[in-house]
Amino acid sequence: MQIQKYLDLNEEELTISCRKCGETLCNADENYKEHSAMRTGPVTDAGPAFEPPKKLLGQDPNLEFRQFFCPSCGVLFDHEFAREDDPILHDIEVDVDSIKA
Amino acid sequence: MSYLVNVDIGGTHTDGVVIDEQGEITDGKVASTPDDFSAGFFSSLEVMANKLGTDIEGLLNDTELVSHGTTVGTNAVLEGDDVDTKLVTTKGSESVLSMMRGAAGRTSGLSVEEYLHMQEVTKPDPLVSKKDTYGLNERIDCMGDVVVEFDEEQARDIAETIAESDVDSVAISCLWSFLNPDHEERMEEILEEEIDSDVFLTRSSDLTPTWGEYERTAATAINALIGPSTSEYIEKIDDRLEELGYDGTLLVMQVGGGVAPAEDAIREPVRTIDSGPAAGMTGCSYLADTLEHDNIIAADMGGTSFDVGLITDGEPITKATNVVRQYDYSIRNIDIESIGNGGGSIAWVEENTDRLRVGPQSVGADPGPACYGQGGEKFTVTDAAVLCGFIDPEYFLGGRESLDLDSAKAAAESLMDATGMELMDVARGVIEISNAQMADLISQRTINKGYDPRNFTVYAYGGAGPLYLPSIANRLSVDEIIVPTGDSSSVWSAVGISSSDVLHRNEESNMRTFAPFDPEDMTEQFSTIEDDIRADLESEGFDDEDIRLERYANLSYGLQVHEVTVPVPSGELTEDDMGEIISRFEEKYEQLYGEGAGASQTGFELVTLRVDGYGESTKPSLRAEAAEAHTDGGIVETEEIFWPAENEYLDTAVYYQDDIGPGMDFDGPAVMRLNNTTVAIPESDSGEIDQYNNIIIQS
Amino acid sequence: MATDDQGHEGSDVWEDFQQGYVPEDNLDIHPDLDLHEQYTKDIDTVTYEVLRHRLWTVNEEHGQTLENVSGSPVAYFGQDFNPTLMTHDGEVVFNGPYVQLFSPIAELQVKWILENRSDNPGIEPGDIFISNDPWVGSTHQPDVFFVAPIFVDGELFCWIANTLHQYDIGGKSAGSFVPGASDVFEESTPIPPIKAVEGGEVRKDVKQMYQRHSRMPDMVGLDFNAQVAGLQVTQEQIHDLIDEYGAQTVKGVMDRIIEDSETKFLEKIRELPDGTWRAREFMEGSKTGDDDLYVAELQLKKEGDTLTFTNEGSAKNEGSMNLTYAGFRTAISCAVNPMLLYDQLWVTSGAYRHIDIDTDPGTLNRAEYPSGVSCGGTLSIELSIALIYDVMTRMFSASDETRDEIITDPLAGLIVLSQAGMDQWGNPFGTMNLDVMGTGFGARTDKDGIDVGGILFSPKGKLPNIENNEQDYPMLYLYRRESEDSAGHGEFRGGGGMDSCFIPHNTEAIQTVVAGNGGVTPNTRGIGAYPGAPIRSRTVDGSDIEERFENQEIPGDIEEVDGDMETYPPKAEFVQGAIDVMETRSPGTAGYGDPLERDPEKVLEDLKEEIVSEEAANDIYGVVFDDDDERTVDEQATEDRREELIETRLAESTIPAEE
Repeated sequence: MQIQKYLDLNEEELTISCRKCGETLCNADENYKEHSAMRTGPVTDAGPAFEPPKKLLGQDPNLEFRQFFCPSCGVLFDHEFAREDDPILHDIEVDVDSIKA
Repeated sequence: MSYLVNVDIGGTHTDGVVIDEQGEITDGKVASTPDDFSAGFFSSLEVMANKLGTDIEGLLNDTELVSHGTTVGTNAVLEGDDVDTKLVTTKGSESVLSMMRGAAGRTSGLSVEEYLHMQEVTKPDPLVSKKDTYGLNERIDCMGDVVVEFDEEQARDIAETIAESDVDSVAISCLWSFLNPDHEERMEEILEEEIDSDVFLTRSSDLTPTWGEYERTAATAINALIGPSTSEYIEKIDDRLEELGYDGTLLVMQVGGGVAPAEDAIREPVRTIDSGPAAGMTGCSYLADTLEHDNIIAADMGGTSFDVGLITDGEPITKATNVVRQYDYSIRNIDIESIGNGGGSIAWVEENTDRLRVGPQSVGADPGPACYGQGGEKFTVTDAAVLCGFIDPEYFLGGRESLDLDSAKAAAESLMDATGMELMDVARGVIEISNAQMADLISQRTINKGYDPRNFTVYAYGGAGPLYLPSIANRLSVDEIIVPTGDSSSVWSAVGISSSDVLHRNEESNMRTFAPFDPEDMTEQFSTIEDDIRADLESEGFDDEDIRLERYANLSYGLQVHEVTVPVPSGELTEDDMGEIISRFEEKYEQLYGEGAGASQTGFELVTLRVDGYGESTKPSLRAEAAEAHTDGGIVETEEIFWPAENEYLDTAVYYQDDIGPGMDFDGPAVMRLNNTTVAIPESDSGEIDQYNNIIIQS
Repeated sequence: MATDDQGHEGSDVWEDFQQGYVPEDNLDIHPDLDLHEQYTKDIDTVTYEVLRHRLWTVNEEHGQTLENVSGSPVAYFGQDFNPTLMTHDGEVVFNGPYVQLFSPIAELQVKWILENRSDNPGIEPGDIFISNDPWVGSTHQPDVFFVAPIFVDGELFCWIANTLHQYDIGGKSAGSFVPGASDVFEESTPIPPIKAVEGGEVRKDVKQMYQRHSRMPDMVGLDFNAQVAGLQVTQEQIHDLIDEYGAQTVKGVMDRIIEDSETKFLEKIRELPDGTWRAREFMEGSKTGDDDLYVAELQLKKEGDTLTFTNEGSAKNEGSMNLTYAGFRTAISCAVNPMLLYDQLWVTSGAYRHIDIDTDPGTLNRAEYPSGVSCGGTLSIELSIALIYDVMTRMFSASDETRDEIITDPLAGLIVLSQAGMDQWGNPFGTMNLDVMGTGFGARTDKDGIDVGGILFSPKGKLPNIENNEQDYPMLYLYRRESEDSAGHGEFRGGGGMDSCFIPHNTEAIQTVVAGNGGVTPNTRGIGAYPGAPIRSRTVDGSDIEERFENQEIPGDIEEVDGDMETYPPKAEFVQGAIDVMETRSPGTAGYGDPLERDPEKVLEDLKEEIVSEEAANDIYGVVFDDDDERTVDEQATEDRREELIETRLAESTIPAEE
């Protein structure tokens, strides 16, 4: 089943894979982002319209822009802004038991 | 003979009428010809000439006035004409048309159900793209003062660039030009020097000097977009009429009510958009004057839509802006609200909830309702009326066409399956739901705006209006319905055009003028506007006694937004007049918005002054020739007809065209199957036909 | 605590006032109040459709009456109001098409009144209660609810309510929006539901107490009349309907409208797998002058037919940035309505039957008294709506039935600009600049968002004309336009926001308060794409604008103007002097899908319309253009550039699990 624009969940194998190239990323109960190719950069990597946080806040909250790509075909799965120490957000967690049932 | 000839072109039909001196109406309904609308115009003339036993030349020889309502402009703006239009505006304001005032751009003119479906909505294609928009170095402020001088050199460069490109028309619309038109006028001069004379030029301070740059610029851009094709079209008709021997002026219907001579209409074609329904309203106010009705609900039901307008104190209610293709634009127009609910509206069943719904989609002229037997498979309101028995399948449109009852039944089957309803329950349901939607629209137009529908008379017209409106009127406790001129009600817009005077309307925004108002200033301002209008009308050949000038002022309370229009006396104004204007305003405000709604403690603001200048044209006589009185309609036949509101078959009197005439009385339940329309009189109603052939139904 | 011999206690009022009222499934209503609970289920299809349309019309007319009688610019231009029709126990039957936020919590007001006003002072025919208490059921204090019961034969049949944003209802800042507040005591004092009209008669004492809150008692008094008139006109119309169709039938139709919305909601929800979806975003500053970041987290758990929201990990409530339970509850409708219930005319009550809110009190998205909440109707609710979109669009991605309904972004930030001073007509002025309405509208799964499409859940809220603002306030605009590169890049890009640039005009200076959020990072992410641009405000102080005007020049961009450029934090307070040029940017919205998948021709179109810069076209979309006058896409170079960008992506990445 498709669980996101670029992600499939294989209901037999209980794995998550890339819809573009078919690459298997991880088990269905894991955070696919931990198994994606993650690029970390400053907030200004989000586009020309973004300003460095320090310029706006007068202090640096250590924010970063994280992008998650398919490690095989490089398609952009998702992004998140986070402080350096923030864990990678587990934003999609399908209940594996409910699928098996 | 001296005829008035009127042709009204609609999306599907072109309706013509010839009215003779006795008020006898001859109609000519033909299919519209979208490839070249003028073809339909002349074939309608031909049909009418033939009915009168002559040819087009013969008809035009005896014609005093030809008037015309056209949708060419509407079509051009809806379908996006292949026109190269440029916009010149103040630098910094180039996004005025693409931004469309934010959310307004994705919701204006759409029904609630359409704009809530946000997966689908978008803003329309730009009227003029940004690459065709030029920003001028110039700036005027809200006092009309110049902040940045007009940059001659840059303006000249822009004009040259435009001149070098493929260009059909140019719109000029700068910030605050309605207070100070100098910069726009200068730009126009420079453009006139640089570009070909056949390029259509229009500027906002001339077309519509009103506050609010988006609506003003949109009006100017639309005028420019449709200018080339509309003026070509009007000129074509004008020339052809002249060739055929017509030596009068061609008058063109305007959306604000009134007609304009062809030469004016050519400069301001934006005023022809939606002028068809406006013509119907003008006809209603002319008839209302004759019948001494003050308050009218004008209800026009055709094949695809139901339009409602109000006349109060004899005057159609107008509004300052109109909408086309989701663009709000400031051209004063007769305020008509419309929903997708006509004879051709499709009945359908909503998924999951199994609700029976009617409209807003309709089948259009092709293939038409299922009963037309032209391959239409959708069940429509008209199919329901055929099943109920209102329309005789063998005698449709005066027997010119016959209908296919079996196709109507077949089309109902999917609805029956989905809802589990019987055939006649479906028919009843479709008509009841359609009627409820129309009743709700009328109630919104009246109760909502501070009017009690019980103080109104309903004028029911359009091909489908007379069949449904009497039942709806009962629901709204309106006790009188008029089907104007009987069978000609189906071509009422065409009749309405001929009852319109030539209208010149000038408005002037009067920013930040608070009471006490200065009578001398106001007199001077009005006189200036009046002089302009009088000069225009005189140049069109109107004598002093045919010119009528009416003054109006729009006022609001200091901290409230509603503007109310009040009439202003003519001539030299006095302090007393100022007091009178304010008390009229307060009175009308309270009537419209409720007792205690006005914040007089925040002061009174004079927002705009307006003068309507009329050049009186020849009007049709509505008096029917003293026809032989049909007091009882002869021997009345009856049929079993199913009445949806009553939910039962009733033994119903049935009249045909030849059975009826002035002086006749009738009692419901009755059905009149006329040549072009059907009138249904409910059981609780009765009525008569007056000397003008108006069918008057009372409950 | 009110206890009487019949065992009626109501809700725990003082706990409600502390943590926010959360109604139990069974309301504790005084037994002397009879509810009209019977209805017929036997309603034929036609009657149902006719009455459904009629009830919608009656409710819409209610809104019109309110707008007409009020005549206030807030109602008319901002459309900052909404009428609501509810059942006897407060479930929403219809809300108007105006500001959505008000209606779903009219339910809370009604339930609270039923529980706590049914014994004393009692609920009687002709009564009207007023309330703006954010801990009972308002987004913030300026949004005042007028709520009236309708009785049939001595039984409480249904409720109607209207909500209208007031010019000023007190507190330390004009307009009652106090971004600088440290707690609620610097804001307007909340008014819990009190009876202002008794048996059809206005209680003068209560009306005066209410007006006395405001700097503008006259205007508040007019709106009071308008809100009462709206309810009274609607009362009559409902009575007419009941007379015509019978109470059982009208109630049956109300019930079925809610049931239809529930059916639609469940049908869609049941296509989705169970699971948990999470979001984390930031509030920038708890009040004006505070530049710290505060984390806001949200979890959405779906189990069977139930959706549960939790906010584990969210920062504590502090300053003025907070949202009460009521505000959070209504924020949910801003996602559920447009994406799942658009064909039910936004009737959300059926969905609310299956939504649980289990958030922790004392947090910025479940504020406890006495934290500041007057920004609840704007900034704090914006953050919650953004978080709710973030989790819901991800959940909706998991089924074919719901994926196509996704709209990526409601508004990922908000910039509220308050201006005050002396106007060009010589009068003092103070306003919230309505340029705030010029936000982008999010991307859909098969089409782009809408540039300057306006706030999603306020479909009738228009952006003012430049001429409107220049007439009413001492300003002169240098430009107002779609903000370049503000649309979140994607296969289907988001809608771009708006740049507004202006100077004071015919005044010495403008006192300026910027209250914004989503200025460092935007608060929604879209799906597989880039975020929309954040808000921004900046000035060039002591500029050379006067010389430029002398030289017949209007600058095309604030960066062209000479002077001292200052970029402000999202929450700031300063004076804009006569020659200080100011620019604000309202936010863009996030995209859908990888920008490398976008049709290059569309990128070219965006370049020509100045929506996308060449830099972004090249580096984010990987589109390369031929260097000729009529620019065209260089297909081969584009293909190569895109391959190169993919290689770079992977070369610059690591796989966290393998670290």
